[in-house]
Amino acid sequence: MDNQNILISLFCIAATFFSLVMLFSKQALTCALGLLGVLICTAGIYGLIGEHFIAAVQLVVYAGAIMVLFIFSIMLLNLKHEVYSSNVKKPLFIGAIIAGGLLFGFLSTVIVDYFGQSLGGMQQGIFTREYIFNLGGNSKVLAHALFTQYYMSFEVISLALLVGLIGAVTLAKRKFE
Amino acid sequence: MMQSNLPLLILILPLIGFFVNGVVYPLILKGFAKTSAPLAGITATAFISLSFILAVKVFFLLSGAGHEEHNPVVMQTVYQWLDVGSLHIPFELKVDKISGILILIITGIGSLIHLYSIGYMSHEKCVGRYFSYLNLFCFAMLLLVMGANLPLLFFGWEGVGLCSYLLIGFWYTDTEKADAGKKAFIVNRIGDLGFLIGMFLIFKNFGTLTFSEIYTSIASGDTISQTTAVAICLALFVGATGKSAQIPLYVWLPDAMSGPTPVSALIHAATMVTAGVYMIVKLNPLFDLAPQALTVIAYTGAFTALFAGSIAIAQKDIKKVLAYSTVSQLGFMFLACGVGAYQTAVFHLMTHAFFKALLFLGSGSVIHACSGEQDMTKMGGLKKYLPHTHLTMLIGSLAISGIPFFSGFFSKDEILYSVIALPSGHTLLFFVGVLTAALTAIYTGRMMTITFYGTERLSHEAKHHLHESPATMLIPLYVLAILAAFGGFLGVPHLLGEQFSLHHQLAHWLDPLVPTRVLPMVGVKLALHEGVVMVGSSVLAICSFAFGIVAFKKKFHISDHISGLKDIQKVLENKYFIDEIYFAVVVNPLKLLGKLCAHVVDKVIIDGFIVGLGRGTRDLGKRFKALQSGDVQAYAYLLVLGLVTLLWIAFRKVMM
Amino acid sequence: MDKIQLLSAFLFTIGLLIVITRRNTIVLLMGVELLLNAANLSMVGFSHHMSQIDGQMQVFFVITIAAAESAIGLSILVNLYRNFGSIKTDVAQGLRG
Repeated sequence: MDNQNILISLFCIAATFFSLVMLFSKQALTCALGLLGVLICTAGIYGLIGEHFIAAVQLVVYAGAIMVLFIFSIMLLNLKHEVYSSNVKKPLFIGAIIAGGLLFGFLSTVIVDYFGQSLGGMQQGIFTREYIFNLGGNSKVLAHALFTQYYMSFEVISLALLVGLIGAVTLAKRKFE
Repeated sequence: MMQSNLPLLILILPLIGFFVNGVVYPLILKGFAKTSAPLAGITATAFISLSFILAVKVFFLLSGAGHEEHNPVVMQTVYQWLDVGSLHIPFELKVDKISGILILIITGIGSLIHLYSIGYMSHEKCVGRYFSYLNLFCFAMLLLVMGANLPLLFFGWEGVGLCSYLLIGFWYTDTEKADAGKKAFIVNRIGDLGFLIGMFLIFKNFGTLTFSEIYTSIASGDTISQTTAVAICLALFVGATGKSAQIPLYVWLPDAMSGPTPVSALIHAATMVTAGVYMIVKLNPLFDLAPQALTVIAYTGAFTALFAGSIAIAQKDIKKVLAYSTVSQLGFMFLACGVGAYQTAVFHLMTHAFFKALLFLGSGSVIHACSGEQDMTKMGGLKKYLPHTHLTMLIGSLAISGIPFFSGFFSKDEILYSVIALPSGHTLLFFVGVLTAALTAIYTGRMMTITFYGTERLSHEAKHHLHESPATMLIPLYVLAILAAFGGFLGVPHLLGEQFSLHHQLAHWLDPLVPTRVLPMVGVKLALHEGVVMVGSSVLAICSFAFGIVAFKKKFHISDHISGLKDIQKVLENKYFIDEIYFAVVVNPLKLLGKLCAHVVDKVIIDGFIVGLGRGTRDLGKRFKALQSGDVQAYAYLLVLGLVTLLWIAFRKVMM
Repeated sequence: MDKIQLLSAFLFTIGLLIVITRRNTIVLLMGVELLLNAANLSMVGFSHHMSQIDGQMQVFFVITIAAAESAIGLSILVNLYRNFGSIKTDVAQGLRG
């Protein structure tokens, strides 16, 4: 467990670093790479706590498809003439940092003080690591839940994907006169 | 106490005449100026004559009932006008003995003047308007004297003020005449403020405004403090100075001569200006409670009489002489009220109505004959051209001068004797009164001589049109002349009447309402026997009148006789420059204040505030406009700020 | 496992800052992705802590929706570029005033 903890901490720090890269970079591509880094780190964290399926989905969908989409659009638009000045000295930026700092301070205080206490009467579930392992692994358990308990959501999600597909095509196509 | 419909009828008939002349005829004839003079005049005269006949009937009712009742009254409650809390004002008409005399004067002399106006205004335009105003005036004056409570009296008071304005400014296209009308109304209004204050004080102290209730309240001994009584009486007297043209509010009366002469006769000689005297006589129990106020009234009256008399001697305009003469005689009436001789004041009111109306109508006849010329220095020697006018005016002049056995003699003599005989009189007032009586005779004689005797100074074309007045104008003159000559016998004093068993009818008539002051034969302040006063004043009157006639035949101004008096002559002729003083002290500062208000207060302060408010709102809006930059990310930032604030506020306890 | 929650809070804050601050629309969309990711992380963390699988199911759906939304977002971006000629966030100022 100790190794796990150290690794999780490492991934956390890496994610933090990548997100700061995203915030302070001047170019869009650098930002994209930062996002990619964050996604990989989170996938790593998912994997380390035993949720292998979700880690895989994250890597495949998020890091694989969405990031590729982003990088494609950056490259396709090919905006060389737009120069973005450094963001750091703008007053809005400083104000935003302060607001963000306040928000993070609040959230972290709440988390640190109340983590572990059972608020709202939530009880421990049954799906401990051993139980999942006994049932046949994370994927099997999730698949079973998806197609029995959450099958309605599954259907709706597929519709949503369809809508998204149609919408994206409609919005981006050239308008014919 | 008799109930009858007559008071309302007497009141309403002139009002109907006003409507007929003012509304019905223009509607029928399709135009305001199309009513012919005879039609308008005869309609108006018919209505007022009907009122007169009914007034005579009421008079006989009163005198008949006088045998049984001590204080007969003809009453009529028309309807409940105001009934708010403790304020109870019914529209109630009450004709008691004083009102009885006055309605006879108003309707009687009013009818004569209406008749006269038919001839006088025959070549004027818009005669219908004139007659409707005259009828309206009679209505208002009748309401004044017949009202059973103070608000109705005040209603009539204001109404006569209004009609005075309308009639003085009848020829309103001439700015001077219109200004004279405005002056009359405004100066009257100033006095009315005093009257209103007096009414408020009366209501506050007596709880009622009805005359009968005030009388019972005073008679039953409900004492009000003397200072309150003095305050009330002085406030009411201020109103009287405005209406009856005493110092300091007399300035409108000479200017009011810009109106047609019959108007001057009716309003400014016989009726409206006597409203103040009537009011004081009616409220005499109240005035008796405030001796200091009575002293003020007496002194004001005496001083006004002398003051006006001195101005009258230096005037060139025939109507101005008569105007100042009216102010002077009104001063005499107030002097009489001030020493407590209320009946004498009413007596003098009556005789003054006769001879002053006569003099005014006569002067109107002269002016009519001279084609509008009013300056006496341009007349002269009219005796042989206007015999009737001359005769009647001579009778009027003899009456006003106090020549024995004419009406003025009896009333003026009684006033003079009351001043020294009664305990509240004063020797100084007596001598002022005597001096004024002499002045009256002098200036009246002067007026007669310059106008009728001496060399003819008329211009050639005026002489061409010189003709005696038509019958409609002469009949009223003769009627009034008879009254002026013999009217005095209604008040024969005790001294003379004993031998002929003639009583002082008027005193006897007014006895229930106004306590008869029995005048002792020998005066209290000055030990003169009544007979001495009588003889002395007669001699004085005859001598002064003769002096006036003789001295001014050739020379018109007193400065012509004694050249050293040139400056005094100038001051007198310019009426002591009072109008100029008023303008400088009162009118111009008020105009300045008005200008100040318009340019500073209104423009700078109020407008500046309002405009500034608008401008400030607009600027504030402009500043808020910066928030809506169109930058979505800025909006998002504000969202986050809001979220953080909400979280902190809502979950602060959690944090702690 | 509060580390995961803390990381999630931090990533959420950073995502907000990117949305507020960056002037490039593509970077803005990436910030939105980061927001969604942070929420996902928090849910997975709690699901692990509470030994339940509901959190993971939710994440499944969220990832799907995030994918669809980013596709549509990018097509809107293409439209924005077509209409305004630039992808800076301050070209579209119709809300101004």
